[in-house]
Amino acid sequence: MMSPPVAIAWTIWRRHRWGLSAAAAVTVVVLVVAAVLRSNMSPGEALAKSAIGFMPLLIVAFYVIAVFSYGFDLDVAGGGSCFPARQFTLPLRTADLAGWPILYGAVAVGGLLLAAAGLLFRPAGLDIPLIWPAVLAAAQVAWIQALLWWPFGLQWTRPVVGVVLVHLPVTGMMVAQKLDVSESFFLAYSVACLGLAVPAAFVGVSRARGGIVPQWDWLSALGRATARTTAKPFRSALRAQMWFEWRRFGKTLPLLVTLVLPLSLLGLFLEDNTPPILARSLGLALGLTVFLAGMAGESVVKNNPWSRELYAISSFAATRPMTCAELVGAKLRAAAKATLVSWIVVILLIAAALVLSGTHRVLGEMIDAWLAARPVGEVIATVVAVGAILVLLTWKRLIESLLIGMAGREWVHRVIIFIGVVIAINFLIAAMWLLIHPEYHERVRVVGPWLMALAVALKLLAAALAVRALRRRRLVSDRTLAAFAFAWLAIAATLFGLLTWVIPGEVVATTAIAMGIVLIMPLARLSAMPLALAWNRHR
Amino acid sequence: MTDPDDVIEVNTLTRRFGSKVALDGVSLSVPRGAVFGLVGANGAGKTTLIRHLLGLLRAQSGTVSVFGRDPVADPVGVLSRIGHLAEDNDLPGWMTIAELMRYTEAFFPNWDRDFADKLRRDFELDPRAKVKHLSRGQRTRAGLVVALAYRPELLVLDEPSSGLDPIVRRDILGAVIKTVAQEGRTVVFSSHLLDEVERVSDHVALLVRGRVAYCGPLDDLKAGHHRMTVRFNEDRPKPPVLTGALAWEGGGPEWTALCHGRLPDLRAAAEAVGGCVVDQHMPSLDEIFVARAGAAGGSPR
Repeated sequence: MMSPPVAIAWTIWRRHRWGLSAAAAVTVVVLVVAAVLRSNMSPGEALAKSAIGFMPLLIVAFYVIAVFSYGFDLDVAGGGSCFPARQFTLPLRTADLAGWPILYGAVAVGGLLLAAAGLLFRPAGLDIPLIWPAVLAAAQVAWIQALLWWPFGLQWTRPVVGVVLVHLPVTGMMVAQKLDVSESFFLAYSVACLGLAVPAAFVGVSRARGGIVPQWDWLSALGRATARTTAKPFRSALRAQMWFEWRRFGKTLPLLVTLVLPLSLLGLFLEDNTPPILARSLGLALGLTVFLAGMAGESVVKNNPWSRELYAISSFAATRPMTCAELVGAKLRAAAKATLVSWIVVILLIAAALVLSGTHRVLGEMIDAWLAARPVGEVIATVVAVGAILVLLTWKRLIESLLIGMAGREWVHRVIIFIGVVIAINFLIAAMWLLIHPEYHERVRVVGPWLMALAVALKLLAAALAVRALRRRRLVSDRTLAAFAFAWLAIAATLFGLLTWVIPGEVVATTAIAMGIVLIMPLARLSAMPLALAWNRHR
Repeated sequence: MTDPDDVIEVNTLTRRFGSKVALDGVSLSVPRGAVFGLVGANGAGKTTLIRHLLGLLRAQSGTVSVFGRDPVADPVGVLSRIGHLAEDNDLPGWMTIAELMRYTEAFFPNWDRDFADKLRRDFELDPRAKVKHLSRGQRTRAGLVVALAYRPELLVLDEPSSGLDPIVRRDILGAVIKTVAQEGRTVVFSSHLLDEVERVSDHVALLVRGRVAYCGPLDDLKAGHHRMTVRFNEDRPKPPVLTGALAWEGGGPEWTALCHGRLPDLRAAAEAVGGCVVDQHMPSLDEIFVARAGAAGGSPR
């Protein structure tokens, strides 16, 4: 019989063995590649490049935290505990159930930080401390575990508490650094954070195991009293399905933006906002929405979030009397609505932050300077083009994993992730190699457009094959296909017109702009979605 | 040859999941207006067959036709005429009953709002209650409301009794099925509660390990089976070999057989092996199913 620590480690390993193996491989590859490349660089260059090597390690750390927090089963927005309920009936003490994953997570992430400091940054010449960052990382893991394992009893409480509390260890440390306190304080602070987080996680699991969940009766009573029982009927099945999809995932991105964007706008209140700093802050805020869309996309992908089979379509959804193309269309439209609502939130939040911080004057000066330097039409075209691309990218990020979700097979999801990790590792190695071999940069500049052309050709070929299959299986009518092609071409032509107007030909070639638009705009995956859904719906 | 009066036509349908054969050459037809009970042990293939009827599974071999259409090729044409209650009843937990009814209404032009409200009240469902807060039985009732409210031509119920208490099962489910049938519409329902199937259905299909052991009118099935007690002059260590006997029980000089065939033939066969029929009556569906499943080598229930 296995002992509790071995049994708990085995259950985690058994489920995530491929992912954890890949994470370990990425870590080893990054550290080895960094060590090899360092030998050919000057100390200053090595230090600058080591920061690039830290990015994949950071992604590995996030993955490891998710594994040891049981973060792959969770409903973050739900009111219940994310700790797997099946473990509550095991003949183990709560201290064992919670304690071992906390220890494993702390050792894994703390060890990763230790490795990054000792094998990546220090050999590159950055004399960073070893112990307290590792302890702080362990504390951060325990904070996240406590957050995820506490039963809050009310939906959306967890994300709000998370935004308010979970960043405290790291934020506190950053404030302390500004105050220039001693190293021993950092260690004491990190240990204190860990000392607070571990009991919090224990108590969370204990309460979840005992069914001690806060009751929000007054709120439930209020909700029931105000719940509408006689809403207007939907005008069509498509509108009903759009409402269904919107209710299922539509609010995730606007909510994420509302919670996270204010933090990224804090700089407007704290920093000395010269035009370059303000431009950087606003750029980051705008880019953040596109980044968050990728995270929110996970909620779009899951067809069946209330079931154990996350990706399989529920029989309730599968028996809607709609075609696969209509079901896909409802998802895409709901995603478009989520995108637009999110951008309205972004604009309102940024406008409020600009006015409240007084930085709107700096922005006004920047716009005046821009208008003085360029024609009004060009400025407007640039703003429209950038805005359109941001909105398009947000929508694309929101739906780009949808094809995997539509296929409804866990193994497809895993294979795609595996291929993605392999490509990312190879890309990383190639990029790092190119960084230290500037003699090849000219060759890359020559080959680049041809590689782009190849990517465009592959994308168009994939789309053509998908359309052929759609027609053969009669999943989409010719009229719908024609409307889709017209809309796609209209958007692409508009973007092309705007971008060729504002970007001089000598900066970026017109052909490169055209190919970039084709690569940015969703086409092949979009065309294949009804096929994937049909594969899932009619097994 | 397809009978135009048949709502469902399944021909030599076979379905495998890996090495397991879930349906093995199933052929059956469901006439319009029938209350058709699908009977079988757990794992006999009832849900798999129903999922084929709904187009959720593609026929690996054989054909499935509902209203003369292929449910995979024409899901809208088929599903818009079917009311369905799934065994796992996976209604979205976040919806309230009112939202569920409003949402479902959009898909069916025949949705009868007064009838839907009446059903909801009869089933004692609070329109403001969320599906995830309902008990299993309440969830089944909610599923029944949205499956019935547009008066579908075909009602497909997969294990509708699971989660329902005996009173609801007897009174409401029975009444619902009878009402649908009286209006000339067709009901297909699967169940392993044979007394319930016997009470409400007029046609049955017995599925045993993925094969159809019988398919036809319930009355014909019952009329073709007899429970006979045969007495012999001396003790017999094991029952005799009797043509038409599906299962035996008893011991000593008296043995009871569940037989299939014409009664005079069965009596003559019993006398031919030295026995005398001392008691005979029509068996229940439960007895027939247990005997047939046993004869086919399946676990009865």
